[in-house]
Amino acid sequence: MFPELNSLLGAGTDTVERGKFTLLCDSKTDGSFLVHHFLSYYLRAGCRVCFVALVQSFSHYSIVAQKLGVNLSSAKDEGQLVFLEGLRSYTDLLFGDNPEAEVTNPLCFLRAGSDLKPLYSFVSAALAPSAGQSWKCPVLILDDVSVLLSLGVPPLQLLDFMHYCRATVCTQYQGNVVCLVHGAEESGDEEKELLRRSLSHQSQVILWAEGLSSGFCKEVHGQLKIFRGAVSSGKKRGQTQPEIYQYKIQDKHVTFFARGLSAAVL
Amino acid sequence: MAAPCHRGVSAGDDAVGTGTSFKRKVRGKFPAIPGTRPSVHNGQLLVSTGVPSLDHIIGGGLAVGTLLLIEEDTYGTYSHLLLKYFLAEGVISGHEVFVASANDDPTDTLQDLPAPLTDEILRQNDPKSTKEAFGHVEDSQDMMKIAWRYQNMPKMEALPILSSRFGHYYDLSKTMPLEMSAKSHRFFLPHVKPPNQKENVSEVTCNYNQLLEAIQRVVHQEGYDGSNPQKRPKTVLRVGIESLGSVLWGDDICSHERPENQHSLTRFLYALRGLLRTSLSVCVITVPTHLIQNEAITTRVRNLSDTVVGLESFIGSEMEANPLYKDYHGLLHVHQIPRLNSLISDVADTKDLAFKLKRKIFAIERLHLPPDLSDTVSRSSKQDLAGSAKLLSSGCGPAAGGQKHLDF
Amino acid sequence: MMLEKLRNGGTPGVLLISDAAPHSGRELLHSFIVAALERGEQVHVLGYERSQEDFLLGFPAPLVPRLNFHDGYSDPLQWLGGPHSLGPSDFTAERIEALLRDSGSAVTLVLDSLSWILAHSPLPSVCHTLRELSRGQKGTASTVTRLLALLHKDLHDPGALRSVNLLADTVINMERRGDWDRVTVTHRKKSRKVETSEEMVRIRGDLSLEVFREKEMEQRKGQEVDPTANLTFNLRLSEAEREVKDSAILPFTFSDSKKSSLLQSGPGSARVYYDPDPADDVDEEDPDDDLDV
Repeated sequence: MFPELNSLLGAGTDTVERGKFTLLCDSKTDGSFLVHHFLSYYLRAGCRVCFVALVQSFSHYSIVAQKLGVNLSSAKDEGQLVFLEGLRSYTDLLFGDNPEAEVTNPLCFLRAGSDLKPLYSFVSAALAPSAGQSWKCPVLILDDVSVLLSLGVPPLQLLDFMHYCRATVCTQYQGNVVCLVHGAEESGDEEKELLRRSLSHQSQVILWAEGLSSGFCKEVHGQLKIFRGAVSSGKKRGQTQPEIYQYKIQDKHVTFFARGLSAAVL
Repeated sequence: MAAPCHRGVSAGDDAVGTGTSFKRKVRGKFPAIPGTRPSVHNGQLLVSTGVPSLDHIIGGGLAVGTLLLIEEDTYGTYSHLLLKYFLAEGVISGHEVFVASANDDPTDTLQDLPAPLTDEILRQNDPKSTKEAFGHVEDSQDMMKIAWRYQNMPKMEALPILSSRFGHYYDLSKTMPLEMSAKSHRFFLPHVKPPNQKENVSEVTCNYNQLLEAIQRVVHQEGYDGSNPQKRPKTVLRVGIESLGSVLWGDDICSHERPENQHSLTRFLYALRGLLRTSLSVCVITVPTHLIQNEAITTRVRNLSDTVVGLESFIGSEMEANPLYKDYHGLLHVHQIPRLNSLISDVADTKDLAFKLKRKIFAIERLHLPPDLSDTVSRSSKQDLAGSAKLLSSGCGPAAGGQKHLDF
Repeated sequence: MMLEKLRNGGTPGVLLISDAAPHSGRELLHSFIVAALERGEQVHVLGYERSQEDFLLGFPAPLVPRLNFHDGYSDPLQWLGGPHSLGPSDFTAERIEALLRDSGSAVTLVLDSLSWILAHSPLPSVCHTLRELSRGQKGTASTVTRLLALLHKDLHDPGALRSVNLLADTVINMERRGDWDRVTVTHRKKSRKVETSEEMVRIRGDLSLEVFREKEMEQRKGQEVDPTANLTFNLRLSEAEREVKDSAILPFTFSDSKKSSLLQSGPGSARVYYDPDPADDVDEEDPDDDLDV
C-alpha cells in the first residue's frame, strides 16, 4: 500500500468505498505496482479479497506484499484472501491426471473452449457473503486479464465474464473490482484495445501508468493519469480532466509528485 | 531467487508455504548448487547465460524459474551462438540440459558446443596453483628449472572438470571435449512420432503440446518439481529451445498476418512459464520475431516471457558499412527485464548496447564511438560520425517517443 | 440551440448519443431522459450496462416512478439461471412491444447501451429491430415515439458504425474539450433535409443543459469557402508569367535608350544661338554669380 497514492485517490483504510470498478492500464511501462498497491490496501482495510493472479506465482506476490507490510500467507490461512494462481492451475489442467480435478479447475474453460462461467463461479463462490465472517466488503482483483486473450479467449467472452463479475461483486455484493489490462495502445493489438476501451466505459476510476514519452529516466519512472467519474450521474460530478502525476518506484514504496517536480530536479 | 521451493527440496520450509515457485533466499536452506549464485538485488537464485557481459546486463544472471527470450537476428547466427553458450555453461556447471529444435539435430548442437578456456578452470579449481601460477603461467610452463624432466610431458587433463564458478569464457575454435558432457535430453521434432491425431487440434498445437509434455516428463521424472522426495536434484535443468514459432514447427505466425493458430505459441509459453515457476529449471528460447507478421503477437510473446533481449546483426544490413559500428557485429536491445519478488527491476544504465564476437569472447558493451587515433582524419568524416551517432541515439532510444518532447 | 430544441421539444425518431472512452455520454442521455419525464412521458429503459440502482441515481425523486427499468444487467446470459432478465435474444421488435404494452401512447425507449446489443447480436437483426421500432411494423404504428440510445463509437468497426448512424434520425457526437463537451449534432428532418450544428455544452448538476457557444455549420462553411477557387480567369501568375511581366518596360519609363535618343539632335530641330553682350559682367570664377565672397 502506498499512502501517497491513497491520498491522491482520497481513500483510507478506515472506510472503504463500495461498489466501485477500477481499471488499471499501462503503456510503455509496467503498471503492476498498482496491483500490489490495491492488494495490500484492501487486505489492510480488512476486506475479503479474491485475487486472480494470472501473471506471476504466489510467492512473487507474497514477497512483494511482505515488503508492503502485508502477509499473504496468513491472510490466506485466515480466509481473508482467496488466491487463484493461474500458472499453477493451467499446468495442472495440462498435466494433471485427475479427471475430477479438471472439472473443478477454474481454468477448465481453456481446454473446452467454452465461456468463462467456471472462472466466474469460482470468483462468486469465493466472495459470496457467508455468516459469521467479519470482513468488510468483498473485493475482486485481477492481474492481468489480457493474459486470457493470449490464451485464446475471445474478447467478447472475456467482457461477458467481466460484466458478470461487475454485476455480482460490485452491484449484488456491494464490493469492488480492480482489474489490470497490461500494455495498452501498443503494437496495434486490436483485441486488447477493444478490451481496454470496453472496460474503461464501465469503470468509475481509471488509473493509467505511462512510460515517459521522452524515454527512460532513472529518477522518474513514469506518469500516472487518474480519470475519475467516467460514469454515474447522481454521485458527485467527476472532474473531467485527468489528473497527472509522475512517480518513482522504490524498493518498498512509490513516491508521487507533480509533473517536473521530481526530487532529483529540485 | 526464483528457485522454487518445492516440498521435496526445501522440506520444512513453511515461510511461503505454498510449495510453489519464487522464494526468498534464506542462507543454508538450499543445498548449494554449482553454477548458481544469489542475486545481490533481490536474492533470486541466478544461473549464468554463459556470456558474462549478458549476465551483467540482465541483472546478474538468469533467475531460476524464469524464461529468457532471445529475438533472433536476421540469419540466426548470433542467437544460435548464444543458445550454445547457454548450453555449454550448463555442461560445465554440471547442470542437466534439455535441447529442443525443429531444424538442427540437438545431438549435433550438443556436440558442437564451444570449449571452455580450461586453464582458467584449472586455476580456479586448485587454489594453491592459482596463487602460484598467477602472473607466472607462461613462465613456469615454458621453462621448468627444477622439474625440467617434466617439461615435455603431456599435461594432465583433469577429467570431467566441473566448475562451480559463475560464468565462463569459451573458445569458439575448439569444441567441448567429449569427456565433458552433461546429462542431456533431446527433442528433435522430425524424429518425434506424431501422436494419434486428435480432432480439431492443429498440427502446430500438437507439436507444442508434445514438446511441453517432453519437458514436463523430464521435470517430473528427474524430480525438478520436487514431487519425488527420493530424487532431490542437486542441480538445475537448463532448457534450450531453438527458433520457436518458425515454419518448421508448423507455425503460421511467420507467414500470415492473421494466422489461424495465433494462440498456439502464447499458450505454449504460458504453460512453459507455469512449469518453470514450479521447478528448478531455467529456459532460453530463441524466436524469429523479425519474421512474425503481426506485431500484436510479438508483444504478447514478449509479455509472457521474463527477460527479453533482441539481437540485430549487421550482416547484410547497411549498418555494416557505417564507421560508427565498425568495431561491432550487431546491436543488442534489452526489451524487458523482469520484476521478480520486487517492485523494481534492475534496469541497466544505458540501452545503447552493441556486441562483438571474438574467438574467445562474446562481448556486449555500451556503444561508443571508436577513438579517433589517426591525425589525418578529415573534418568531414568526423562530422559523418557525429551524424551517425545522433542517428544511433534516436534509433536505439528506449521509448520511441520522439526526441523533441521532453517531460521535464 | 439545436441541442436544446431536440432535448426539450421531444423530436420523435431514433436519437443516438455516441461517445468514446474515457468521456461518457451517459450524462447527456440522462439529461434527455429527464426532459422526457418532465414532459410527462413514459420512459422505458433497457439497461444492460448499469444496474438499476446505479442507473436511477441522480434522477429527481418525483420523476422516478414513471421511469421503468428493465433489467438486462444482472444476468443477461442466464449464467445464474435465476429470475429472467433481458438477454440478447430479447432485442426484437415483438418482445419490446410486449414490454411496453401497458404504457400509453407516448413512450420513450432508452437503450443502455446499443453497444452491448451490437456486441451480442448480429448487425442486420439489430438494424431491423431499430427500423421497426422507429417506423412501426406491418403497417401498424409503433408505440415507441422516441428511441434514445447510447453508443460507444470506439468499440465498433467503422462500417457497422456508419450503418447504425444511417438508421438514426439524430446523431449526437460527443468530444471532450476542456471542461466542456463539444457536441456535433446531425439531425435529419422528415423531409430528409439534414441540419448540423456544433455546440459547446455542459450538463449541470440537475441534469439540465448549459449551452456555451454554438456555431452553425453552414455559417462556418460559408466563411471557409475560398472564392478565388475554380474561377474562369486567372488571378495568379505563374513564375514564367511573372518573369515576363517584370521584364516588360512601361511606356513612360525614362531609360538609357530614351535618354540617348533625346540627347541626339535630329535634323530640322531648332537651335539657340547666344551672343554674350559686352556689357555683361561675367565672372569666370563664379559663373552663376552666387559666390558669396
